[in-house]
Amino acid sequence: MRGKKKRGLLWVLCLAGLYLLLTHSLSDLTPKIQDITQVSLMRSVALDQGEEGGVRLTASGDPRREGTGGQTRPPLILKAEADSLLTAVMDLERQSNGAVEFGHVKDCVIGQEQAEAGIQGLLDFLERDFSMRLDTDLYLLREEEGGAAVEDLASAASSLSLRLEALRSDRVYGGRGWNYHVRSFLSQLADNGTALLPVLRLEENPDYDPAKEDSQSKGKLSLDGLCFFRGDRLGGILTREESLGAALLTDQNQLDSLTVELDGGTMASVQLVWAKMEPRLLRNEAGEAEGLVLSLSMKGDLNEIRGWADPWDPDVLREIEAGCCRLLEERCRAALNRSRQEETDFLHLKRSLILRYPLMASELEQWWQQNFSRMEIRLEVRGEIQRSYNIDRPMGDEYRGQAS
Amino acid sequence: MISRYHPPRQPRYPQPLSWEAVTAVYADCADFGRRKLCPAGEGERAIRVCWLDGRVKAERLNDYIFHPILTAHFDPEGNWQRQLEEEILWNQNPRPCGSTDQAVYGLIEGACLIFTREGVLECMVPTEDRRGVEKPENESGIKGAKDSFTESVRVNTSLIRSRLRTPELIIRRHLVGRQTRTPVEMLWIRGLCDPAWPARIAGRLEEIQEDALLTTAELEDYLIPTRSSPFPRLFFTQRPDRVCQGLLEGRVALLIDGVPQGCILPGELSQFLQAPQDRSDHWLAASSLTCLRYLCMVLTLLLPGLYVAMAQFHFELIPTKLALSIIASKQDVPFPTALEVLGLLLAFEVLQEAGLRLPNTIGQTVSIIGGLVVGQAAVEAKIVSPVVVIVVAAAGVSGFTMPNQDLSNALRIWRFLLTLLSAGLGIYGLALGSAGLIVHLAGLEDYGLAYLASFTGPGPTPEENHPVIRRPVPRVKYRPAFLNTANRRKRR
Repeated sequence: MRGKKKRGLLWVLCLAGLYLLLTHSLSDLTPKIQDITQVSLMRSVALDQGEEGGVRLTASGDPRREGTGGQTRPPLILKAEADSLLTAVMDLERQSNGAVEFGHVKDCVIGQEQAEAGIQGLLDFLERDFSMRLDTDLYLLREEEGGAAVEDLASAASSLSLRLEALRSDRVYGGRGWNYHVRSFLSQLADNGTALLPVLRLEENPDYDPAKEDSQSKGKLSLDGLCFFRGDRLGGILTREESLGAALLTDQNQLDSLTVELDGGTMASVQLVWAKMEPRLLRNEAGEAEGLVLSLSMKGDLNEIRGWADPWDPDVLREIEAGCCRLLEERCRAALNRSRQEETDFLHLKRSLILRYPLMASELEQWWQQNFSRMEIRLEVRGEIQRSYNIDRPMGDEYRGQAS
Repeated sequence: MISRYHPPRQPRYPQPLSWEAVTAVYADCADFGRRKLCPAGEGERAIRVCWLDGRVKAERLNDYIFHPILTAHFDPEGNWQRQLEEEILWNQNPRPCGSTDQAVYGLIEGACLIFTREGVLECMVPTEDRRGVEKPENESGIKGAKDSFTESVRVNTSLIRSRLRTPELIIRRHLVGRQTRTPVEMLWIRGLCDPAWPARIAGRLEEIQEDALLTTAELEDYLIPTRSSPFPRLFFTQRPDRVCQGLLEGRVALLIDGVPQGCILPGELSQFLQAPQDRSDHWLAASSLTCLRYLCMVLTLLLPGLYVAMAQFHFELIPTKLALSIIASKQDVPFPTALEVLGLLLAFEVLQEAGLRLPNTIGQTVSIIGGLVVGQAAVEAKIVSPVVVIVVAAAGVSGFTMPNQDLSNALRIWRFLLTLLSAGLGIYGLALGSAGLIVHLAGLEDYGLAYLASFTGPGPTPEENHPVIRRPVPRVKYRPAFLNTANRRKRR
């Protein structure tokens, strides 16, 4: 009986297979074969405002290698302009010999003009299109069109994506995980109505030689602080000081160098290796919230001392720590002031506070709306030089900054 | 037309037992030896002896049969057969022979027949000229025993008896094959083994009505009724210690005369992934290596299929740098990825087969020329890409880590199937094929024991051995529950 059933099932399967083959339905059911060599892998895209309110899309790959160990050629650059991003993408695919694969796009650069006009359509596309990765990093290109960065950095040795990869490893504005990708940008906008993005600056490459066009890039790209979006539009660009403070207060700043001048003219350089911000509520005697205390802890390595101060002296180390804390405090203060001035919580302090006091979420939400611009915010900074090589220094001797 | 079963004729030689009947059976056999003996002073009454050359040991026949007969003093009026049996013959077990069948088959077993006026005596004087006990070729280990089974079933049982010195060890003989009448001995430990198993296996052995039992597959095909699966179900080993281990777990062992391997049944998957040295090595090392073997099993099965699926359908699954590297290496290769992988897999199998069939020295040359020279040339000629060579080689080498060749062969077949499915349906095909494989394995069951028994159910308790992690011996108190042993405790 069991054998009969099996045989019956096999017959049904065979007939179904035959039906699918004869009606050409099999190709509809099976995924489409595209060999990897027939596909153009895009690594970065740039989005700019097109003429008549459209969108201009520029996509680029990495420098192309001709076989294993072969010569490299400049990356493939494709450009399209249309009323919508989807149409631009379709145009782009038509331009390429094979299929265009957006699944490996790691970077998306938005031109300043487009950012000021609003990026709602772009966000919709990034959110809905299945082939785009939500871990694609977003950047704003200051005073330029994003497409310019793609074109100016393309050479046999470089591309926009390679340059941005190198910038990411610097980690000045990004910490344990680069937190400026599409997923977090969208969630921050949805959650708080504002989000931070890194800003890029494109300059001319002073070493550029037109004769070596293939091997040298025309432009030079660098990180130039952070900007904040309010809704889907660019709200403003932060200064360097404000950007560093914002990165600290959003737990993004993980690698930075701090130079402190000590009494007597000695210069000490400290490598910031760890920083953590913890918010807590400032309550009055009745227990009601009346402000915010931001405790920032930092750890650094003492890398260099130029001058006569003795690095083995615990007092000198405390002085260096106090100097570092002052620097960080100034940065944080600058970011906080800008945030209150713009009346935009781009530092996501409300969210941090709610995560700290989850049971008071609704009260805090209400209180925040009413008091954000005038509440008292205190900053406490605590610094420790963890690698001073002075093993005689007593434990817990580090500098603890006062609330200010 | 349905052929009807004809049971073997019983008795095969119905004529009454006589000198003439036996000599008529072996009339055309060159190895049939006979002699007429006339004991001292008894010229009228003669004794006739016959045997098969090669099946008996000449010295034993001369010294313990002929010599005592020729020098003995027979009572002329007495019963010579009784005299021979009780006084004269220097033989372990002389026994009266009652039928022509017994006499004819006794000769084949290595007996000589002594015909007197009163009847016929059968004395075993078999030769033991067979290969000696040697090192196991395929299951060698650095530590542990170094002996292996031989072609003689009796030597093999003695190797097991010398390790399992318990009278509870039962050895039951069956003769399988109408023409070959191959002795197959079934071993189990009474009080440990589920009593239903020996009975069911004996029943299956009795059902075998083939002419011959010369290879293991002939036995396997009968003992495992549904053989549509390529996965091994009987565990064959050259090492007596592994058979002992199986017996102590509560399984049944079979020893076939002429086959230098023991067979343990019923089998389940985890058994085939245990290497012989696992019991000799430190438990941590053994467990790590077992984990590695499971990983290799997954790799050898899925790697080519996964590569085809990713390179043809799902580029986004490949890390970007790797994707760029694959594109660069594959740029001038004219074949699609699936064809490239399948072709290379086939070439790999051809090379492997060629290496096995040729003598060792030539086999190595073939492997070097095929693998290195032709492989390198194919890459340089852009016929295959280096990444595909690496993928196929990694899958092939991972397959070589399987301790059991039968399992390795099954994985090779499934590797092709999964690659084909991936070539058609991408990652969905691979997932579908993998699910099919699991369903297939889960559906296998022999003698009431599921093939995946060690991985199903509530799992081993801390006092039982784990199928992947070998626990230190003092911590293992019980035998595996799924074996349904009569006595689960293995130590105090």
